[in-house]
Amino acid sequence: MSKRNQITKYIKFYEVTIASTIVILMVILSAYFFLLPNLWHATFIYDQQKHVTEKLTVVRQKDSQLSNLDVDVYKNALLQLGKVLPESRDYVSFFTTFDSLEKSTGVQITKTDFQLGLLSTQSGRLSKPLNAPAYIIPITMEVAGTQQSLPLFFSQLQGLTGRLINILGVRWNIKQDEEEMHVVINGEAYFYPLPSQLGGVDVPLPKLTKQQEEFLITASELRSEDRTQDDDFSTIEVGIKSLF
Amino acid sequence: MAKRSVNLIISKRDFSETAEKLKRITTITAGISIVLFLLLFALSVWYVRTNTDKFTQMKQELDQVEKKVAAKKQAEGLYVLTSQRLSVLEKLLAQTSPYDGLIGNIAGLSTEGISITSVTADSRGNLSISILASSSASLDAFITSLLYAEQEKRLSKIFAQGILRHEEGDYSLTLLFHGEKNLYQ
Repeated sequence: MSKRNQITKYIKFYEVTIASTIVILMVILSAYFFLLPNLWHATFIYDQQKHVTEKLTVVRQKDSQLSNLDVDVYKNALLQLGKVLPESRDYVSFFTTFDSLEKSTGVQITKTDFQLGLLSTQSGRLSKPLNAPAYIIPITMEVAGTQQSLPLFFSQLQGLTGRLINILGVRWNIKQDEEEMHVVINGEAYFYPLPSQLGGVDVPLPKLTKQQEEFLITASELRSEDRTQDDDFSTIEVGIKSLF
Repeated sequence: MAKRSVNLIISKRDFSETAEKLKRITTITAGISIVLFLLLFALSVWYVRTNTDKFTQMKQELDQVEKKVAAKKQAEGLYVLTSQRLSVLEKLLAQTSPYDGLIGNIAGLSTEGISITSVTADSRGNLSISILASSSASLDAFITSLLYAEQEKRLSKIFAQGILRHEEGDYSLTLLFHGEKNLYQ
């Protein structure tokens, strides 16, 4: 038998096996060149879709929240909160707070001492103590008042009407012949700088807690009251406008 | 050395059996792989086509909503700033202790013949009061009233520092104690 005949016979004998092997190889090659890229593409689309869906949910929710936002309430509240917790040391607001407290409570502030520290804002901002929610200004004040007026003074000092002053300790002396009490108050006031930038469009809005919502309404109402009082003052006749 | 014989001819039957096995395995594998390939390819093409359109639509919608949100940047700023301030304020107010009732409650502790001369209190409840008692009996009555207040859980850990007897017959004394929340409110 010639060698050629032998090969032909061999191929004939294995033709199905060889054909099947060729098909398997073709499938492997096709899978590598066509199926795998398609699968990668499908996976990419799936991931992107998931990402876009999540983003869309957040942005839709944000859009709806912002559409329903009562801008006036927030504007009023932010202005009032700026008085309670200013963005800088703002020593002037101490005096306005003390003036208004004296008027509203009848207590007389005889001495104040607040340690403003570094007034250069940039370097001053770096001194925020760890774990403290805001920057602290230690304050000592002496006030004179009666047993009736002082409690009101204490509660307003720690309220949202003016600059917030947290009372850390009090000391008072009582003289037999005097109705007025002299109280020395040790406390701390705070300031908190505004953030330099807002989050991205897809960053969800922070949710307010129940207590924060209560503060928001109180602050907004207090601001509205202040404004009404200002409006009342503006309508008061101040006499002859021209002296001549 | 003894001669050994080895049979080098492979039996025809064994060889054809292996070939048949190989033939069957390759045929089945080829069939399965081609079916699988076609199925997966069809599925992937279908998935990519349907979802590409959907994805494009979603992307367009996202762009639109993002533009809407960007237009409300001012309101967003207002909300974010307010909420941040409120969050800080919530923490600060949680640190405060009320002092509204302290003066009245301390005055209420006083009994006949006792004058409270000075009081020191801090927000952790540490209190110190200095008193002037006109007699030992009034001093005793005052201590009894403090113990009664302790029973009512308005104060605790009463500690008396040295009693001083003056020439006039009155007594001065400084007391340290821990005031409970209801003493401050």
